Amino acid sequence: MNIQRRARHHNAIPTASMADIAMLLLIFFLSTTIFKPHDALPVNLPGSTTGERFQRERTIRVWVGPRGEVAFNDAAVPMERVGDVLAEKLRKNPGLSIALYADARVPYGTVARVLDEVERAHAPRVTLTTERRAAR
Amino acid sequence: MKILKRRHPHPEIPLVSTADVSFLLLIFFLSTTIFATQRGISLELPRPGQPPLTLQRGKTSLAVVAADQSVTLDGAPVAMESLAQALRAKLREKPDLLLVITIDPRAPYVSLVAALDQVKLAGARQVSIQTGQPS
Repeated sequence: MNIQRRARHHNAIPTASMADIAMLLLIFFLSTTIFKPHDALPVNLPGSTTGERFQRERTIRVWVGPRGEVAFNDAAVPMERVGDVLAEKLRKNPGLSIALYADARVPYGTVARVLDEVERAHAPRVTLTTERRAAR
Repeated sequence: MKILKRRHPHPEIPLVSTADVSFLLLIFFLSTTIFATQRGISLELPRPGQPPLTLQRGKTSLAVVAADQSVTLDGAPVAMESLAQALRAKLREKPDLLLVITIDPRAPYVSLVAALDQVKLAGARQVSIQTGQPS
């Protein structure tokens, strides 16, 4: 009797395209990553449970520091000029809205003055940026 | 004379470790990525030339936040955390209730956000924010 020797299969996972796949994913992540823009002032944002997501790219960011100082992303601005600077920025980009990054400890009176200035710049709406806090 | 044929070396870039290198980078990017989500409470500001809001007696509720962050709703003291509950009871009676929040200018900004948070939790639609007089 002729017993044929079974040909031994060489078991291997094909890894030839691994590099291509990894490179593709790598390029995807590299190109879609946006780096966190720097904060104009170090602020401790208040927490909220009902805050809604908004697109940071479509806002003018106004910072109110713990000592009541006001800054935009490019420069610090005295309180009296906030309205004028905002109006100028809104004239250049009418679609933008205002996002307020105010420190939790700053007195409300300071924030009220900033909001008055925002209103003076005829901004239709303002978003009070908060940090997400889990609902109790 | 014997002329030896020179062997042609096959020029090739070694690509064996490419997969390892790119996987390493991939895992690095995957693990260091944080998704930037910004959250906030959106407020509609009065339009220029819009007539000032007329508050009708009986249709408004007044929440007062004092400098020490204590809250009173229509004169009755309420804890900030249970403001939503108290508001919900009022909204059940009058669904078109307009809420006026008066905040002492010396109160920290966090109390405004906390109050608005409670108002949103209660589902109140109309809110007016006023700056109180320092008492």
